[in-house]
Amino acid sequence: MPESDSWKSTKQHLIFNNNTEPETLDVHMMTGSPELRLAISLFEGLTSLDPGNLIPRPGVAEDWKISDDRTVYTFRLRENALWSDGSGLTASDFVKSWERALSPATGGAYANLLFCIRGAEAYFKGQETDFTTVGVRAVGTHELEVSLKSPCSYFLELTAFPTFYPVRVDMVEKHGVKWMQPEQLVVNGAFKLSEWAPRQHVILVKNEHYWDADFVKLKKATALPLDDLNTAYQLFLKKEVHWLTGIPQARVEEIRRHPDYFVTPFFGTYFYRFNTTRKPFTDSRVRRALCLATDRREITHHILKSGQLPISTLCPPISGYEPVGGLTYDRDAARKLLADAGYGEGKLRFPPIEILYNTSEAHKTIAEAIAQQWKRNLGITVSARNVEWKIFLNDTKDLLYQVCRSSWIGDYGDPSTFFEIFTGDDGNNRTGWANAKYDELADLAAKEPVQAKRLEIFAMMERILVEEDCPIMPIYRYVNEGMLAENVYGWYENIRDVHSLKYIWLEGE
Amino acid sequence: MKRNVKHKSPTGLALARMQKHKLGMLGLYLVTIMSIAVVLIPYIVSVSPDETRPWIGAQRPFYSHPDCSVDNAFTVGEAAETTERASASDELVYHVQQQQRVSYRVTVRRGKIHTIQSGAVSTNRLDLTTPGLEAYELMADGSRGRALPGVVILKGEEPPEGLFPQGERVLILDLSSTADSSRVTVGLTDGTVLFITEEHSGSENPAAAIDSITVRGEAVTSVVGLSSGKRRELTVRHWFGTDELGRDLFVRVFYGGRISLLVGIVATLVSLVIGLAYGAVAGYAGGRIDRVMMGIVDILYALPFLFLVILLMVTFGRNIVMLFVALGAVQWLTMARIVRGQVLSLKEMEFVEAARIGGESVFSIVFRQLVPHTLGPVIVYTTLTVPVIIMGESFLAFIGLQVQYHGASLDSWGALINRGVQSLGQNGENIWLLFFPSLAMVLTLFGLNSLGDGLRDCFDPKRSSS
Amino acid sequence: MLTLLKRLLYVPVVILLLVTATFFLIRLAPGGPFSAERDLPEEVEKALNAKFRLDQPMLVQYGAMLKDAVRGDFGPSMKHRERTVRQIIAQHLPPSMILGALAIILALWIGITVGTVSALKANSALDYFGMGVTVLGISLPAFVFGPLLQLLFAMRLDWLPVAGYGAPLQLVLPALTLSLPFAARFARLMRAGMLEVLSEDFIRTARSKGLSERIVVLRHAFRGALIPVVSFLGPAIAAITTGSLVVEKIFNIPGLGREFVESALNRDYTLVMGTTIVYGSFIVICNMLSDLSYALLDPRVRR
Repeated sequence: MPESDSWKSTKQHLIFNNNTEPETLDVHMMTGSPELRLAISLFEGLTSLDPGNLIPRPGVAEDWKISDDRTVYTFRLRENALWSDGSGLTASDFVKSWERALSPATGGAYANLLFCIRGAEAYFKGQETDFTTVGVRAVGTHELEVSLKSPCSYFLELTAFPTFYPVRVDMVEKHGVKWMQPEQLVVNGAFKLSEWAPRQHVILVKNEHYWDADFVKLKKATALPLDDLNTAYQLFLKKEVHWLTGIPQARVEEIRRHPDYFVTPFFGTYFYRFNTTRKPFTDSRVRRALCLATDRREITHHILKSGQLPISTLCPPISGYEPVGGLTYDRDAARKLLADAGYGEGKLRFPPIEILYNTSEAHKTIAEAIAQQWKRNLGITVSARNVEWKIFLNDTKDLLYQVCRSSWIGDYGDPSTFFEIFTGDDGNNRTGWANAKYDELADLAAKEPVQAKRLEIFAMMERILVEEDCPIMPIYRYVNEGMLAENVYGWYENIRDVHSLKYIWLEGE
Repeated sequence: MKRNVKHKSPTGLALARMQKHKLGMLGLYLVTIMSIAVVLIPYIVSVSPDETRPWIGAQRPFYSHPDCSVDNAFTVGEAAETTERASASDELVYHVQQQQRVSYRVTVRRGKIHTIQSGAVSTNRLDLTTPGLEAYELMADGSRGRALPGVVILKGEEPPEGLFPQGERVLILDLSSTADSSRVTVGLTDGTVLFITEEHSGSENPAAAIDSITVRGEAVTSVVGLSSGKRRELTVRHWFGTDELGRDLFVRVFYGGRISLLVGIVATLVSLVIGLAYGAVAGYAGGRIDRVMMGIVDILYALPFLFLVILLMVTFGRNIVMLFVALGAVQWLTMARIVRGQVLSLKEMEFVEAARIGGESVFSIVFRQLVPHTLGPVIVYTTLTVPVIIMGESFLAFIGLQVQYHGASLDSWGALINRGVQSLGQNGENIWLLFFPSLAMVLTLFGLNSLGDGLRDCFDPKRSSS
Repeated sequence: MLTLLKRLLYVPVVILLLVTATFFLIRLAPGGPFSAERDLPEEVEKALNAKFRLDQPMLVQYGAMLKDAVRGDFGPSMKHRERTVRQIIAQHLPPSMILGALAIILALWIGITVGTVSALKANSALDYFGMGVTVLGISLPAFVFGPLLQLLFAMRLDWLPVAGYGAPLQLVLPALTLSLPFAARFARLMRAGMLEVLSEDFIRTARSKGLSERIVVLRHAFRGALIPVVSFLGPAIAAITTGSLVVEKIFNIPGLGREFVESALNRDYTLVMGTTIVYGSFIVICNMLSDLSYALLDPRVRR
């Protein structure tokens, strides 16, 4: 194999694959990781996450004070924080930006992250039309006061999330939808947009007006939108790309023998949902039996092979939370439970069931393997069926399925990001499952100021979710995997897969 | 039909000519063989196309492994749970090697140990000096390579001497504690377990009788079966190798052919029915009706049909029948033109006139008298449509709108080939996953095309090209 | 000629038919443009629906869409909201066209060469080899060739870039991949056409006049032998342009084929309409041009 000795690009120009074409660069509208990956380098919030341990560090805010009841945050903004056009960044920029983020017309899917701010939810829902009722206020040009609805232990982490980033509302008004084209996009992050050729590349260059510009070593970064990961991997082998954020799954055995391959745990869980409104899944014994009849190790070890962790709990360990409970593989217990539920020889015949998944080789392989396990272990008829993405979304939302493939990736470093979705009225529940006790615990956790007690409440919720009632069946914890050239420095492994280009540089060039 | 008996019909003449057409006959043989194989596969081979053995993974052609299930469960007095063939024996002996294996990935970056990982979990220190621990390099095919020196690996330090081969920066190693191997013997009558004994190697205790045991397929190194006095090793051989779930590729290729051919034939029939009816009506009616009907066909010809198929698949994606209709609906236009042309020239002939005078209804004249006479060109075109549809289906499989064969996780040839392309490695790893489905598809489509060409030459001797 | 002119009148009818079918099919499809893995807040969904007129009755939407279509303006894409459909088409149509044109030229060149050589050396080893290879081209899906060519020419031999768009060399592999199935078909048609023509009387006459084989083939036989190739040209161009989406994905070409497929999968209603109309018109025109050239080449069809 002809391999050149060094990566072709020179002069602090990093090239990476972003896996797909970013949908938007509007921080208030974005939801996917390809967009977030660019946003954290283009913009900066009041705080920014430490690249290694993800603890919130000063960003645009140099310093902050928290009131004794932990509901009022006063941020002091840096005097030298500038926009990329050289104008000063002030507290009122944040007020205007958050007002925009909270307007339904903006179309942000993440607007509800702002609901921890006092009055934000009422304003968003149109119950209140005056933005001054929302708990955010510019005290001076460089002081921002934020009042929360109730204490929120992860608020400083939220302020590092794109929905909380400042944007130039005046530019948005002036240019309309075109405000994020390279010619007019004004940013406040370490990099600015230089070129955006759809489906070809997005090019970022160093922003000289950034307050910490002296720290930034990289001069230029190119993000490629290759969704054919085989092609991307070949580009890496030819040393034309420094960093791959994904690998062709079917070739993992070969790829993990490459020294530049990396794999780290990720803050996301792969699981199956049961439609609890449909027979036989109305019976929690049936759901539990299926959980018990699933050998997750077979899937992670022999099928995925990237070091994914087989799990039977939903929330990954985070902020002191340790997962508890869960039903692990136990064939005999599974059979017994199914018999208890009234199915088996001489009793009711178990109806044929179907696993629904959205089209993808990995989902397909896993669904086929799980169907086989259930067939083998419980003697029931199981089939797997794929539908394309939009049909899948439609069918899971309208509960037109029996068992379906799902996943959830945490938005911020707190277990509530995982547990809240299974409360009875949450739009992301999609199982038809509602448990009064669980909902009550969710409310308690939201109000509880003492972290240790919150963690206890979360543990109780987890037990209900994955051990007692089982509307879902956790399967494995995601990993981040990809390729990283040896000359890339300042790239830190972390569980959320956030890598601001601010810290990255290339050595030996 | 009596007419055909008296003198040789054009169809009969053509078939006689066909027998001399070498390429056409080759195509006919190929198509026949493939169709028979595909239809009979469930009756010939007892291996199930969706039985998974994930611990085997993708293995090269002719790979063989002990004949056992994932879990082989035996309880005295109950039916044995293992593979069909194994449970037919009188006595089974499983050699079990308990594998407490953990694999680690150690990498060097910039001259220092950079990661020591088991799966995605990192550690800072790996001690290979512990007594009773064996460390080997794990080779790409899953086998053990050289034994590794007893050293301590520390993250951030320089790699210990002799651990990495010259110039290498990554090492996959396999740790196992001194293996615990055992022998499980199961006595059976008619599939029911009579007795079970377990014997541990290295232990002084004799074989102990036990009530029940589950032998994990993963740990079995060999299975010996005794049936009607003969003792022999039970293995399963995979002629075409296995896919990443350890499923037999030979069986999957032929089951896949069932889907591909089914889609091809059904969709072609759809196009045949529509095209025949439409063309026959237009041709027989003639005049203005004919002009309007054929005008519509001309219009439809100009539509980008691939787009419509994609749209139809998106709209009715939950229903397999729609795929047949969508693919068939794309192909009926040519059929309609051919039939119409034939009918147009036939309808002035005597036998039609006779039928008309005889008082036969229009419907009867069109479908009893005219349509059968268009058979030649229709057969030709039908034969040539099937491969087009099979290709169309594989294209849909590529963009993720593949056909679901209800109840079983079967892939059409197109989907198998797509999977094969995805798993093809830099040095040709897993090439068999691409090769065998491709071979099946090439043979079949070549067969169909040659057969179609041959038939065309024979039905239309003027156009003969060979 | 008159029939051809008459067919010109069909064009608007065909497009209208296509637009109507597309409009209703895509709206019938389950799921909407704004459904996502993460549930959208109700208020936001409402605001978006209002913005894209999705809250109005279907027929009103249809009428508005037709009006837009006539003006050639479909508004913004529903997925990439900051880009208009017109912009997207303007950006992604040229790569598809360039790639398609190159592929057609390559396919014709390879196909005609291989077909002619095979016909002239009929039943020789060369002929069998050439035709054997074309069997692969006809019987294997195009998505097999892309990765194989990448592996061979970009990775093993390191002659050509793996993927991308911009440099001329980056077009070689995608164009080749796209052209292979059609080259194979052209080669077979060319071979058959050539064999047929060579057996005809006027060729025999030409030969008997003592003209060199070269002149016989190039001057006399070629034109007649091209007829089947040309008759397949229209469908081939249509198939190449719509088929390019496979190649666009494998080689990361910013072409319109992918935009169409993805807009259909994303239920990006506005973009679906835009891409369908562009492709539809293009294919209609291709088919007409093909008919026209067919008529010019074959005097028997000239009416």
